[in-house]
Amino acid sequence: MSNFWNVYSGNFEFAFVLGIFALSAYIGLWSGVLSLAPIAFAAGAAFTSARVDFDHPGLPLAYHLLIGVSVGSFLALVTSFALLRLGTHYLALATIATVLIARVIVLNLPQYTGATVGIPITRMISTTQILIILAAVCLVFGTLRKSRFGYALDAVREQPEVASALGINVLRVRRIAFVMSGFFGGLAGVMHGQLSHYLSPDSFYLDLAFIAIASAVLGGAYIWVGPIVGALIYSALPELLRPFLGSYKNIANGVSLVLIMVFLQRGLIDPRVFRKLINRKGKS
Amino acid sequence: MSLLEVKDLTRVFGGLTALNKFCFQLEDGEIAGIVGPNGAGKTTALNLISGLDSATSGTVLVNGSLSTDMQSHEYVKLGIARTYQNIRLFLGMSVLDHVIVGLDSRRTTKFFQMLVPNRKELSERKKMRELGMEILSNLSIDHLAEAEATTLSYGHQRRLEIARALATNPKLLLLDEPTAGMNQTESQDVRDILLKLNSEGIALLIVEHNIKFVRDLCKSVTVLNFGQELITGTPEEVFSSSVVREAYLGKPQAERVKSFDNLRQGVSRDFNVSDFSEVGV
Repeated sequence: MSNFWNVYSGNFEFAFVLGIFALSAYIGLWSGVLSLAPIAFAAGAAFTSARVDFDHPGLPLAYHLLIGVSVGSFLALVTSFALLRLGTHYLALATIATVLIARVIVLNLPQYTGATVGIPITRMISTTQILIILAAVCLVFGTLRKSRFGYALDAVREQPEVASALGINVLRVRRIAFVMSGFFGGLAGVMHGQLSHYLSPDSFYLDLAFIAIASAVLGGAYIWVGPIVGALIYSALPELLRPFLGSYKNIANGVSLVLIMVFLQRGLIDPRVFRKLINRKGKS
Repeated sequence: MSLLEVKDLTRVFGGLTALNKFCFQLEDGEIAGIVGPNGAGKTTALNLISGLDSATSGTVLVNGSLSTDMQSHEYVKLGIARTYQNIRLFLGMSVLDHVIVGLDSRRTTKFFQMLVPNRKELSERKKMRELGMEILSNLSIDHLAEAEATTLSYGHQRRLEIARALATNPKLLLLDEPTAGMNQTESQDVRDILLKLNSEGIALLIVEHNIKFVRDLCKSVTVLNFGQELITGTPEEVFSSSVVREAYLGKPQAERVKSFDNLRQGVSRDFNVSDFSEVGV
């Protein structure tokens, strides 16, 4: 067992951080918005934190996390004013654009980001710290689900017009969700940087954005457990298939997403299925 | 001051005037109906009054305050709630959850209290569940509270829509074809529910195709046709009026032939006019 952990602990750590990325995409989906922008916010947060680490090495983790969430939320808030009035499809495209823009900015600020050379990070995050942060994030999502805000998000995702007629300010709910996606994106970005010890313009690019969204969709975008399960599967699949597929292992991710979309459109973890199972047990 | 005062309300979709200078009044606690053939502008009128759509011109006053300038989520504060012609439920949510969403405007907890549930938040959640169950039991669907809403029977889904609207504590309930697709007994149940709500002081504005239902329930009826108001009055006046019969059933045979003759005189083309007489128009 300890041998297993020694070999795979790195994969698990990245999987947990990917789980937080997936949750940052999930909160967008929860409000009915498909957004890849959390990755752009993560880039802003991670490079700021890396720069601070470069200038003042040895600051405690809490400082970096605080920098991460504040930069992430701030960028999300500013972006939300420009983007959230768009219709859903155009909004999704615009959030892809934010990821592209983030990369261009990173490449053109060599004095802060190191541009193509990248920037090293000396601070390291431990597995325990990652687990504690992940647990706290899960607690927030679990609590929100049955709160006033959780109900509002559900209603806004399913029927925005009806939600509005029931007195829910759709734009405001979406804006709060968007800022939260920046909050958790920034958090995950800082953790991702400290795990990889190094940031380059490619650290936060479309591949990470798509994997974050895909994890949320594959795991199930209707309850917060889904994205985390999705992230674990997405991290594990290529490793499990490496002996069989060799360098083609990443195909597994694409194929699994297609299969899920065809056969389980609501993802692996679907509260509806669980409710049906519970009801069936109750009746028999 | 009337509860609802609609003045010259107009809605144009591209080249189509769906509603043209519609005027309407509704007093506190009254039951009124809007009827008319398909495409007459009934649902458009309801969408404008409930804030789902915005008017091209004209005003709507609710209790004296101008609602046409408000955003649609603010209409709840005016005491307006509605149901939909095509039932619009939230997929995957339970019956009770629907009502709890409707109770949103009665809640007081702020965003940061929800992240860490304190005693106030938890007691409010409990209170909302109790209130929700109370509303459901008034409509006698409380036994279905935990079922997934979209699995309910059609009649129960209609009731749930009413329950969700009632959760916002409305003074005026707008109903878009509440008995569409229902049989005699089911629509009688709906009538009983609506009468009970009305006796509790809720004014009702009903858009309906079911003439019998409107005649039994409404004190005043407005007939729309092609976006124009034809007539407003008591059900007896309205349904015996020849204008309304014409709009619904068309003109009687003799009159139709006469009007076609008039039309024919205005047409000068090279076809044989007697062909038309053979067809029997």
